[in-house]
Amino acid sequence: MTAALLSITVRALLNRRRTLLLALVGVLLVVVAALFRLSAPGDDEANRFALRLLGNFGLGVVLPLVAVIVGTAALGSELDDGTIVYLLAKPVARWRIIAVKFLVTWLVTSLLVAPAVFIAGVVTNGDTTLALGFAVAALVGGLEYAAIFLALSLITSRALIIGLAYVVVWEGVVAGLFEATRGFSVRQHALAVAEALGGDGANGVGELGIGFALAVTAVVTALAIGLAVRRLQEVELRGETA
Amino acid sequence: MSDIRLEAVSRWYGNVVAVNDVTFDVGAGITGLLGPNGAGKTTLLHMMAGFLAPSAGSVKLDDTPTWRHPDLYRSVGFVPEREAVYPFLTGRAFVNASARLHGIEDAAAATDRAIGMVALEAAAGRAIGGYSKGMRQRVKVAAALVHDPPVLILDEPFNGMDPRQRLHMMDMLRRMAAEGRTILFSSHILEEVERLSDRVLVVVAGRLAASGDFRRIRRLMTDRPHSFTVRSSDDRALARELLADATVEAVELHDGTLTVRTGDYGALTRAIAPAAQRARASLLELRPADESLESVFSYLVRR
Amino acid sequence: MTAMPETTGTIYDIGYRHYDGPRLGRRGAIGAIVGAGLRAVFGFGRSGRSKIIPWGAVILAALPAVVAVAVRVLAGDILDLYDYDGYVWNIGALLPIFIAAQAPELVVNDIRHRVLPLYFSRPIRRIDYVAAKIAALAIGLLAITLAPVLLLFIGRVLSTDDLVAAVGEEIGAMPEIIGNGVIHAVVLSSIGLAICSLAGRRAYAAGAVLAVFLIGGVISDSFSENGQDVAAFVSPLAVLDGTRQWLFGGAVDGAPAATSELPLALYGLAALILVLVSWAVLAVRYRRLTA
Repeated sequence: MTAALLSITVRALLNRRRTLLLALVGVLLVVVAALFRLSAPGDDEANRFALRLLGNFGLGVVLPLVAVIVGTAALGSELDDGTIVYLLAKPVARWRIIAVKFLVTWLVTSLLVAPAVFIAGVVTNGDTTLALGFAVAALVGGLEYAAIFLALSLITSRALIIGLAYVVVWEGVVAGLFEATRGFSVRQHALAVAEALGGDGANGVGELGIGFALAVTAVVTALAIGLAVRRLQEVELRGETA
Repeated sequence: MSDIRLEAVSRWYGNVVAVNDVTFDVGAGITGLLGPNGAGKTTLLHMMAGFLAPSAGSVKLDDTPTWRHPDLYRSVGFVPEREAVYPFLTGRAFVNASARLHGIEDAAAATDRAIGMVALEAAAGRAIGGYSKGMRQRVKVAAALVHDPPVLILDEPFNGMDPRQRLHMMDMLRRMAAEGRTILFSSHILEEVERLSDRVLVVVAGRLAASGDFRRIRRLMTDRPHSFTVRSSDDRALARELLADATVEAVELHDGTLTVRTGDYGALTRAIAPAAQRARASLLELRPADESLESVFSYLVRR
Repeated sequence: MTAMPETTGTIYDIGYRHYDGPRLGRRGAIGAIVGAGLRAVFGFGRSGRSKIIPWGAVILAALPAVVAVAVRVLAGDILDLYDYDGYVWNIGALLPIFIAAQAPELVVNDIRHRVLPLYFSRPIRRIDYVAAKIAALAIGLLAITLAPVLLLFIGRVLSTDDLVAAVGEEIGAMPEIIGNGVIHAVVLSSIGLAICSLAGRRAYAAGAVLAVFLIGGVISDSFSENGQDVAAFVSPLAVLDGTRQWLFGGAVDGAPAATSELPLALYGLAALILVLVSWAVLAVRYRRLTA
């Protein structure tokens, strides 16, 4: 039964023009890297550019943007148009539905983001360790984002708007201005991973310890998934007009 | 045998009461849930199917509350009113996915059987996005039937069907009821309910206004005049005699049809033969003019 | 049940009257769309929740001006916290948020619910509709791009002893304040609405607006720190600041145009191209929608 759930979810997510547009955002990352490479920069300059490009653009914009759109659509679009009823009217444990949706959200997000981050990194200055570090960071950050946005789509019908506001305001502005909030910024968790795995080139890119970042990531992901399961158990379907 | 049992069920959204203190049982056979739009039909059905929690009271399927018991769906098939079905799946893929989500071992065979029941074989290979309303309705029914449930709940199942499909669906539901299943469907179209149901539940403004066999319901409404259509050899003379009778409230002679209204169902049937005798008219026909569900319904709605 | 004779039919006069009076015509219709648009932009007549983002942005935008004036009143001339040149650039982060939240309100639902034919059955043309929507959003944006700077101006003038001398001293900044505010409002509202008109749902429109501004900004930042200032042209806000500097002078710390070696007129040209492309997108989109 999990296979059936998987195939429906994957087809629902991939069968849209939206996914193509999201893939283009990843392609844009690579294009920018290529343009930079064409300007024949020095080594030091290239490293600094790579950190900014992968950190600010890759982990700061592309990852949350893709995750918020995929994550809020994975279950949210079914809640929106009422097709969720075909899932709910089945003797399938609710945690299993959430588990599959979470897995698919994470896989699709990762496929759209991580390869683009890796290629962009390699193109910018050929430092594969750095590129790999950031790609893995995107995978880790993707887990947390996927769980958060999946839960959000079960809490509010305006999940995409609120998710976008969260990305811009919390991840962008608040975590930029107030250091104390950075412990709870997904982007900072991902940057900590990038620093830990990215080799010498990534020194100083993160501000959190890797242990702390991974612990918070695990806790937030687990809490968000737990919340999503609870919400799905209690989701109420009203008629068309309600 | 599966019974759905509602006891003192109310459901409100904020300060809007959608269902108000409703108690009834639905057993084997076909039950029609009738009511105007906004009466609370969908709310009731969704509570019975476990998609809504009752705000008060209990909704049970064979002693298990329907809310938060997903295992019950092994014995319940639900056809929602909303038309949206995954547009990117073919009809067969959709029904097959339902079968697999129900954990049916031979999903392909169950799929073929369900698609056969709704006669959708020809279109099963096409994407649902291109289906007509009637085809969507049938594929939804097929998906709800795929696990052969003893209880089938359908919300406005005849919406968008053409008359031929409607007849086919009615036949199918009758067949399934004959096998001892519990079938509950909602409709605001009286003719459907009248033709299909053994039993009617009438909801008006969130309250259960009547339940049972609709002819019975009609007879219970003693405060409302009954009308009879009478044909006789001399309608005019008979009308004159009937007017003199105390139980008759009004007589109308129009286009050669004599309509008689009375407040007392029994008294009129006893009074009419003597009246005909006095008028020297022979009675050709006497039948209740408004025993159709429609008149029962419009009476209940207006009350 | 009341018996009703069935052979007679009556049409009751329930007092319906035709309107024969003067009509406001095309201009009135445009004014009505602008008015309704402004209500949408500021969330008037909508729930409290839909006022949070626009009014939050307006208040945050004015905050630096209020603080600067307060400091000036308390501490005198010692300290100039904010100047006119950099004001809009420094609060620039608020603009994409405001546009992403409010521009979709103006156009997306009309398209989604297919009510455009109702508009065009009135004496307005497509261009009137589009221009009215741009005007509504632009006027709304002035609350962020113009009002706080005016507030700063008024505060600075009033906080001096000699009012006339102060006005004389500061009035030279007036063309920049107004010109820059209006240019920002017109260009940004055109871009915002052009993006929104292509989206099918409000949430996606908001996402697309944010994506364009965020990606443009982040690309521009990444390159300009290396002195590759050509990249600034993908960021609408950087282009607009360059335009301001070209027209009125005054470099802003951290803005790409400040360190650019390119002729500043290029920024003005880029702003013009952005507006024209946006209008072209809108024109094509609405011709398709109503064809």
